[in-house]
Amino acid sequence: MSTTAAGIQRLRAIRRQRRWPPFTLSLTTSIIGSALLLPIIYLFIRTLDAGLDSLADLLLRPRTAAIIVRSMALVVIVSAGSAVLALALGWLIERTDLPFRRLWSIVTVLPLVIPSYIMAFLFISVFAPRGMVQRIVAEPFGIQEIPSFYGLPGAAIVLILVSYPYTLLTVRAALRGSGRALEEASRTLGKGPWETFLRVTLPQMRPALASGSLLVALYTISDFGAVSLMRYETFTWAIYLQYTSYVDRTAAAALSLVLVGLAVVLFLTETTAHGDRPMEETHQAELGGADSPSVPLGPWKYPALGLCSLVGVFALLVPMAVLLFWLVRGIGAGEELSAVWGPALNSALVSSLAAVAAVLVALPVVVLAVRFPGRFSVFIDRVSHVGFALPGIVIALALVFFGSRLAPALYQTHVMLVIAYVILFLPIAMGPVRTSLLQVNPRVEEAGRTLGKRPLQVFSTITVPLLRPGILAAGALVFLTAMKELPATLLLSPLDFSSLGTTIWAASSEAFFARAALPALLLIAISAIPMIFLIGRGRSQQA
Amino acid sequence: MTSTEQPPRVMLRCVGVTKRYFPSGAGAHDVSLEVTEGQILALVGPSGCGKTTLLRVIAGLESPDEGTIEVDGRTVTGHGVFVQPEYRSVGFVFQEYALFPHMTVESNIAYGLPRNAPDREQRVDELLDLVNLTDRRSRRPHEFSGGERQRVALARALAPSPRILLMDEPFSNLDPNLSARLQLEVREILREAGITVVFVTHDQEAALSMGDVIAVMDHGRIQQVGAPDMAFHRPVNRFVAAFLGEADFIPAEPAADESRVITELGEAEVSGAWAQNRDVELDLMLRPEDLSISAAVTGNGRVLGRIFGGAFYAYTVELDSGLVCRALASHANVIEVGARVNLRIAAGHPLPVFPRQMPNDMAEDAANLA
Repeated sequence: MSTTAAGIQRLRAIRRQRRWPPFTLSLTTSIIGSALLLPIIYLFIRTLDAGLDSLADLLLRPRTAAIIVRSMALVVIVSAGSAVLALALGWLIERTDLPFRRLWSIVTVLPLVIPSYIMAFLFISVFAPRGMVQRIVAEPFGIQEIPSFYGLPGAAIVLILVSYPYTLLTVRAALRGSGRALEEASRTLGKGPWETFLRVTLPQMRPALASGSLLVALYTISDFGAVSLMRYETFTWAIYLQYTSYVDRTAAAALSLVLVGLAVVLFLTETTAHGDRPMEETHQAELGGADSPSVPLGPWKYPALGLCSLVGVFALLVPMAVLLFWLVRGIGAGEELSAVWGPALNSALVSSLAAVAAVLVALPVVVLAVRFPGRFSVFIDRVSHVGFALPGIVIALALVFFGSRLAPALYQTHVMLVIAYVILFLPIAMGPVRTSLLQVNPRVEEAGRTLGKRPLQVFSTITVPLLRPGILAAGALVFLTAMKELPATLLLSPLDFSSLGTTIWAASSEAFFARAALPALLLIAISAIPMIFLIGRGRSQQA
Repeated sequence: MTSTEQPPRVMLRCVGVTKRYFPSGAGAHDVSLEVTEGQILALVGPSGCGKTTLLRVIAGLESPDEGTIEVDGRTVTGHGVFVQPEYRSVGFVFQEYALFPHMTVESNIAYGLPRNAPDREQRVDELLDLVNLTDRRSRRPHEFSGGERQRVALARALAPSPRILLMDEPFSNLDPNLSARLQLEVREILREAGITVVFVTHDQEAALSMGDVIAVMDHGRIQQVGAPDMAFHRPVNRFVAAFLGEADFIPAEPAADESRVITELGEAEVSGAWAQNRDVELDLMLRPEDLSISAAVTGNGRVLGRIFGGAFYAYTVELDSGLVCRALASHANVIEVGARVNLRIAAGHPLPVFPRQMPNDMAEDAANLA
């Protein structure tokens, strides 16, 4: 019975593949797809305009090679560091009798709410030369110089602390999903806990580790805030410097294209790693057993607690304490607290516009992808993930070129900024909408058709109301992500426009940490909102 | 059927409808069907035989590769025409009901009625009354049981007064007891509404009890169309015979009397297309209830197994020739497993015969069923 049911489902899947989307949907999504690709294509054309000789000259400089090496070094160190940290924490939280596991499961994910540039400025203000550590700890002992924190070590530490939760979340989900039956089977076959971990648990975690690490890698290579404040010249910062310092922008464009190449390589690795997923899913389906007893840590629980505390202290406690310190100090020094309202309103305005626009664009793309699978919809789906693969600074630069030449009316307006946000955050908007649509039985829509309603009527009276939770979640996520965005906002915003992000970045790059404290606190508070939902959802899944 | 003065109005006519699916399976091949006004046609066949596909093609949810479909005399598919589902006036009750979860029962039923129809509310009232859910009209579908959802789905599909109603596996999501009760209830509602119905099921009992006419489908082809009792007692091929009920086949020799055959279980009167055929070797179809079984040391077989079915025992008997047959006996007649028995044909009606060497596709069908 079950095999015939599976067979029928397979046939239904084939059946759906053979259906063509309605003309209006194809047209709308084609326009969206072109609009998403156009700026990037234009960036290519503009760069090639400079002539191949001067391009080769630009790209074959030792400086370019140094940038590539620095970027890759950072990506490798941050991904590996995050993977190790995530695996250790994930296993402790999901599989052992670690004390206060509920607390650690929340604490270890919370650093996700701190934007990289805020984490960076807080660390600089503590550890950099003339920072708190030197003045309070080192100087009393007569130590005049502490090792420089700028450069690779600072950038790597900050980026690991803000991005390892991505890997942790995927690893924990995989651990929870795979159940303990396989591990118990290994134990009954005479293998100890360590060998079981290496030979059974770890191989199962591979797909999760791969997808988590590649998320971290994409995050790292796109990061602008931390590397610029840490003065570690990777692609994003080099592009920004090139763009702001020189009249000829070809060099910036050429560097962006190399960065695009790197990002595409990472993105393709990520999608290839998806191939392992079905194995993981069958395990999830077949093996439940979440209530099995946990691995007893015994005396190992003290080092385990030490590790968790260390992460908690550095990723959460120190940053928050320092932030409060600067806030109090800023107030004491007479910082104008009301100065934050202008940037806050600016951020809220463009972010709301971006949220609405991104959801409106996501709807047709998701409907096409879910209801009309086929080559065309796969292509459009890939194209709409361009913002996921490409760093914000590249998309911003592409829009600068495109806007300044082809759409001067839009250049340096709020509209251009919103367009950039839509390109960047469309994948984020598509996620919840897609999840919602997958839960809407297509038969319900067909029922609407057989009851005499045209496709668009069915869409507005049935599909959209059923998608409401997804639409709201998508809008909220885009809003909150756009609030934190930095590089595109720096490059594209109108001349007199400053957002919370740009205010923090500008203040902290000139070491006005007290001035950055209040907007930073505000941003962290805003970012924490989706986190609360995420943790709440995790809990209800555990229960 | 009773009135001979004027031919009954054909509400649905399918001619040569073909829908191909690759790599294989649930398509429809050259399906032709007619359903007259007020009739309930049960389209029955095993999973994946193409019956749901055919239903979706009739509703316009899929377009066929070939063939024409007329609804109440109007061509809706074929001859270069394809009428969209919303303009076909064909109601559809989906297998999982597909109720709109964000609407109340009332709004679900009202959905298909024109927004400014003057009798909109009245019509909703009528249907709520018809399916007996008036007191819970403002509830949401998730508050209802499977059987009640089924009734809501039925009312919703009937509301716009479609020319024909299509129902896809209407009872498959219900437990067997509820399913049997609901079949009666739904049949009553459909009769009251006076609507022409095509319903699809894989359950031959539901088809036999609910359909005025049944169409047995396999591998995308209609195998037999006819009254339920005709199809049951006079199947046109082995597939239909074995699908509609339990059936065993034993070799038969022509008797002197042309309408009779001789088998190792005795003589039988025969019927069907092959009854007069003397050119091929024949098998006689036997249903378990056509056989009588009694304990007898000198009998012709041995009991292999026994299943208690409540009102009766079902015996599996291995004949001395090596063939295996099934027979029913009342619960008063208890025979132990391993005992010798005498098995005889005891049918009160002619039995069908089929050629022993089957055409290949039918042999496959039989193999699939075994």
